[in-house]
Amino acid sequence: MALPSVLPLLPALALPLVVGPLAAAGVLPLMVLYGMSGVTASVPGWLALRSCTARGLIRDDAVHLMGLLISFGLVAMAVADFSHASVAFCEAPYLATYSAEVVHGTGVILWLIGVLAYCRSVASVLPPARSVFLSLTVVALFVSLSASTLLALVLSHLPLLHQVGHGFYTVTAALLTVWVMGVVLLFRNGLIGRPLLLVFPGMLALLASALLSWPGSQYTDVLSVSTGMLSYILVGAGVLLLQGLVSDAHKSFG
Amino acid sequence: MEVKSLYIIKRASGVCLYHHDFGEPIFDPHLLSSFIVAMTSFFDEAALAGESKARAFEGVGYTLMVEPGEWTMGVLSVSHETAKLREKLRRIIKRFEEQFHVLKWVDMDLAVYSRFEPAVIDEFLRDQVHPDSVIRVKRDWEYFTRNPDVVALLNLIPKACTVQDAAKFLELPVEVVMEIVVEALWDRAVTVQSLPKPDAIYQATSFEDVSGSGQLSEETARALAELDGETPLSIVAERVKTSDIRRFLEEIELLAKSHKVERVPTGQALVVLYTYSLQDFLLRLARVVGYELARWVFFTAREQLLRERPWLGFVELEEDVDVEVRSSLVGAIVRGSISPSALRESLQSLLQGVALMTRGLIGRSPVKEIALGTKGAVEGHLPSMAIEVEWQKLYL
Repeated sequence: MALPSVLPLLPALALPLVVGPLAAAGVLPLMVLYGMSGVTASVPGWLALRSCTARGLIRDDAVHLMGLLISFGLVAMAVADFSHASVAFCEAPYLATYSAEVVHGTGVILWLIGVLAYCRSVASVLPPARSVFLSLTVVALFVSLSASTLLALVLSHLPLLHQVGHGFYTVTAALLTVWVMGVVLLFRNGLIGRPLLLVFPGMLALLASALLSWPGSQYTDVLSVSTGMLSYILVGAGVLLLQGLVSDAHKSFG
Repeated sequence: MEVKSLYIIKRASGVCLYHHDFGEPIFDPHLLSSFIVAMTSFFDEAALAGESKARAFEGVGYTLMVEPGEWTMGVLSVSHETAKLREKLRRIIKRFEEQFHVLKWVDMDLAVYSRFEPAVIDEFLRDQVHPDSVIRVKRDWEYFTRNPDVVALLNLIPKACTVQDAAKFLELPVEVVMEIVVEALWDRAVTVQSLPKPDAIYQATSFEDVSGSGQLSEETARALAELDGETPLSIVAERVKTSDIRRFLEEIELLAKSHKVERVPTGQALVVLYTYSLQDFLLRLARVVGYELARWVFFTAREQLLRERPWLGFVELEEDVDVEVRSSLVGAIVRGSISPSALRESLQSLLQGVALMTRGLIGRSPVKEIALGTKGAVEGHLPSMAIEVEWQKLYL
């Protein structure tokens, strides 16, 4: 059984690398950047959702659950980015931004639950994985909480709600990154490790996006959104590849 | 004891070359050999069969199992015919023909009785003695044996005790005491009673209502419905919520003696072992790669083996990764159309094929963890049978 080709991905990966600098240079309004980010989240999100639900919505299957929750998360993030894009038209932009951030955070939580459920399923079958995941979790929590605290102290002029929100975003992104890294290391010699090899840099991009969202300047916001777009494309592509494997397996023998 | 007597007859002449009575002598060996040869020849002529086919002649309280060899015929007098005893008869005939092949052409005194004694002990007595078997010394045992080891043992042990207790009391290794008990059994100085193992698999052969008999507990009477030929006794005991497992096993032994239940043939037990192992392996795999990919692994591995072993097509996956063996295959196993060794080799190949496909999917180290996890689960469910599976071949 062979993996589907990832060549169609390449043009999509170029998108954030092109629009990011344009937005940073002021050529492209930030509102448009958010809109394009919403599109890059919604396209893989809907495609992955369609693929995951092809053989039923609710199944007692950890791989299916992870794919489903990541798809729903992408859709939630798309909604958040579209909301961000329409902030300029709102009467209370601060509140609108806050609502969009909450929806975005919901998407990240769905990713967290999906990946956590899969890691727990793997750890229930592979005893060495338990200690690996536990160690990685402890390290990620320590490092991300320390980094968040440091950033909050350095950027103490930011509102408290802003600091808490971004701290949460940073910690969850760090956890997602290390958990996916753990799974990729476990299955590095197997076919199933390859789709996950796309998801890992996607989570790294999410972590970068979380860290870049702290300062709040236009330049860092543009970078944060661009890396966020990269994260959506890579994670979405990884889930689609994994679902492609599963669909091929189903077609072979039913 | 199930086996009463063994006779090995030369087909050409009808002469009894070897016989042994495990209990009290019943038949005159020469009379019996003439009768058997005459009856089998008659049936061959009547059915116009080219080769003599295995038969059984049933009497009151005994059955004569007849099995033809190349130039001999084996007759086993038993209380009840089973596939396991027929397998033993086939093996003993084969050993006799290999050891005394000269007798095919000439009649010579080859000290057959003394030289064949170890083979008969190996085949019919050794598997009756286990560390937890209860030794019951006969009242007048001194008249049955002159073996100094046996005499020394029986002088020291109580009238009824287990092999393990005897070994502990005499401060001897259990294997040594087991060997002496086997010799005592051969000399008919003792009887042994072995309880079924908790992971033994039994099936009900009678569907009479035994609850009112008074000899059995209510749990054991209910357990008859659970003895489906696939479930180990320990699991059956859990289902009927029995409080005393030892009493439950003694009552099962009682039911087996009265032929209301019987132990499943070796082939059927192997199928239970391997389907449980396969299902557990696939379930663990499904937790890592999902059910669709786990099913794909099974079907691909099976596809690769179908050309040489077409009957593996009767091993199916029902919902998710529930391994199911079709009844036609089970029937063939019970009839003996597929030998236990062929069955073991094929199912082991299927399990290894699944492990190999899994390796391609998730890598070598995770496969080893899954295989070891499955081995642990099988050792918990069927402890005495788990050793039949070659676990190391799954991950080496």
